[in-house]
Amino acid sequence: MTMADLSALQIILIEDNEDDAELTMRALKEPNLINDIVWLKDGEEGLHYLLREGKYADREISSNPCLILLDLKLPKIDGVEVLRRIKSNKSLLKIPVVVMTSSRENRDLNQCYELGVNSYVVKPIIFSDFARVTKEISLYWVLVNQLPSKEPF
Amino acid sequence: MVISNIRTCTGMKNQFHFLFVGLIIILGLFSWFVLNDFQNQGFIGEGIEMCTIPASTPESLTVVSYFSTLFTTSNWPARWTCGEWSETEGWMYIGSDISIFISYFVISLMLLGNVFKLKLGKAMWIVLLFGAFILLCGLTHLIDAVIFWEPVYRLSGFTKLLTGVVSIGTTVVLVYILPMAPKYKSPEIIEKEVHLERISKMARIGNWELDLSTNRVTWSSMVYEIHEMAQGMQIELDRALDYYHPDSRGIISEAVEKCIKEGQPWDLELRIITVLGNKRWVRAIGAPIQNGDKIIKLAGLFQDIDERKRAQIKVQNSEKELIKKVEERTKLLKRANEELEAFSYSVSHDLRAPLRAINGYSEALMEDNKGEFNESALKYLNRISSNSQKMGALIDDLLEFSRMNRKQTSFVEVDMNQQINQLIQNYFIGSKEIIEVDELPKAYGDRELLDQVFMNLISNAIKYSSKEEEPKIRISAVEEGNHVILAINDNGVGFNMNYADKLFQVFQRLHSDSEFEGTGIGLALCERIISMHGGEIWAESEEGVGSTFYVKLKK
Repeated sequence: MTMADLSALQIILIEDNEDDAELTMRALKEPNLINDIVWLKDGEEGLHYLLREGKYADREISSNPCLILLDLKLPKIDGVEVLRRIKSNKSLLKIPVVVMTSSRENRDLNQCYELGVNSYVVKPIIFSDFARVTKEISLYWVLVNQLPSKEPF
Repeated sequence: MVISNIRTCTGMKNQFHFLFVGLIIILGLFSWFVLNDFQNQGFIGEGIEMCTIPASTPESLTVVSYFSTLFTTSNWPARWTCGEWSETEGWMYIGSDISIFISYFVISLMLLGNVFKLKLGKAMWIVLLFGAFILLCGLTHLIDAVIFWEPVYRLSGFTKLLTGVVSIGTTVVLVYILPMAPKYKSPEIIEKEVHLERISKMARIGNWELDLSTNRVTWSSMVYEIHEMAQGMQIELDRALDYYHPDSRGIISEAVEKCIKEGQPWDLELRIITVLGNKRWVRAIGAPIQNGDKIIKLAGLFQDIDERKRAQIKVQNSEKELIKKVEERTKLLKRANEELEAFSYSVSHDLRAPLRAINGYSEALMEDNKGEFNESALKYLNRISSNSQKMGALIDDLLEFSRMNRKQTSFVEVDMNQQINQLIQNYFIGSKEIIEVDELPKAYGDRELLDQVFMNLISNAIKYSSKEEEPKIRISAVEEGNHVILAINDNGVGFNMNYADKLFQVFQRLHSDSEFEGTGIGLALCERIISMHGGEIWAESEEGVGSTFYVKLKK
């Protein structure tokens, strides 16, 4: 994968808080590397998008994201449930999921790791830290980490 | 026991002496009569005329002349002289009479001798009468023997009259008392009964018996009393069971049935309703009485346990109430705890997001408009940013503080030496030069929690001595009995001891933020952790000289 390919990569952000979404996108877009960020405002919309249901029924399967950034406290369907559905769906379970949340609660950590989360990040309050963490973790999963290819062996 | 036995023996001996002497006297008198006659007349009336009357009978006999001549022999012949007595026949007659006399005499004396010693009560008079009757019978036989030589027929007649009167009297008394004999109670038995009665009254315990052939129940007086019923009323089994409270009736009926069928005894605490309608707790005990294999009767005890039982029930009820109250409180506490948990959970989520936004946007503003903003605008934006950071730290500390209450602890032996040196290595490497750590002993506690305490105290020491020219921190410890006292000393600004009590309270600070930054939670957290350990934490300080914080833990 070359750097030029990066603009074709898609990251989806499932986040209800407008400010957090804004700041996350600002942090990711800053290096001008990843442009295709889809922001989905709650758990239900997130699942609709991923499972191509409702208004996302016509979405092309080839445009599956390469990373899912997931908040836990979401309206309608919460983040843990979204994670469970992703990890129990054969076509989605290989997509890395990074939970980005304010919660440091052990209960949440345990639940997410039991469901097979790939990373769990507590959002730092200081923006510069937040921006750095968001950038680093996204680049790591998109660039550094090696995933199995989509083609059969 | 032994002493009383010896006494009885000596009593018996005395009696026999008495009998023996009496017998000797009587037989002596008898011999004297006989020998006297021998001298006068020889054996079998030689020298006296056969069957002749020595003097003529007086024509009239008055009471006075009768008794004044009670011993007269002049009106009758001696028996030897009348009729044809062979020697053998005569001596047989005499011998038999004398042996009858001796036996009667001994029997009567034994009766009379004992009658005062045994506690017979009214029965004593009957025994006395019997004794007199037997004694008199004996006397008539003795006189019969004497008459062979001395014809004291008048004395004989009088003795027989007395004997007759006493015999009739005895007979009448016997006819009268014999039917009552089976019910006779000696004073000893009566005394025992009184004693039992007293015990029964004190313990409020009575006994009962059920005759299975008649189905009739016999109660002792206490059982009647417990039922508040007139003494002596006839009671059938069914009626006796009817006095039980409806709650208890089934239980007692079953127990009685089981006892009759299987011989199984019972011991139950039940309630009755007395004749006067009072509810009363009783202890009912019953067991079978067998004749061979067959159960013929049931017998048992019946005790009034109302007072004790009521007290017991009261205690039980108050215990139950207490348990219920504790459960209610626990429930409330649990709910409060759950609410607190939910609260801190939502705080951790919801309070951070806006802070992040404030911080994020102010930094974004600064980044995007660096050239356009004037100095004061940039300064204010910086203030906004740093305040939001501070609030973030405050939220983090508060959350940590509230989480402490819900934390599961595991107490182990903690090597403070290793633990504290490790902490310094990991977190305070920059200040390593100014920290001197003595050899520290082991303490007992939760590793993670104690780490937090040590972290807080060391970082405080570093913070408050940071303005000194040569900051110096010393960590030492002393052992005191079962405890270890850890001391963390610094040569920093110190504080006024007047405010020492505020030191460990949440949000209480002794220095302004411009002097030393802080959230006012660290020491409160330390205090809570140490009190969870059953230990103590305190501080000593002098302004401008330094402070020492002490932590007392179990070894």
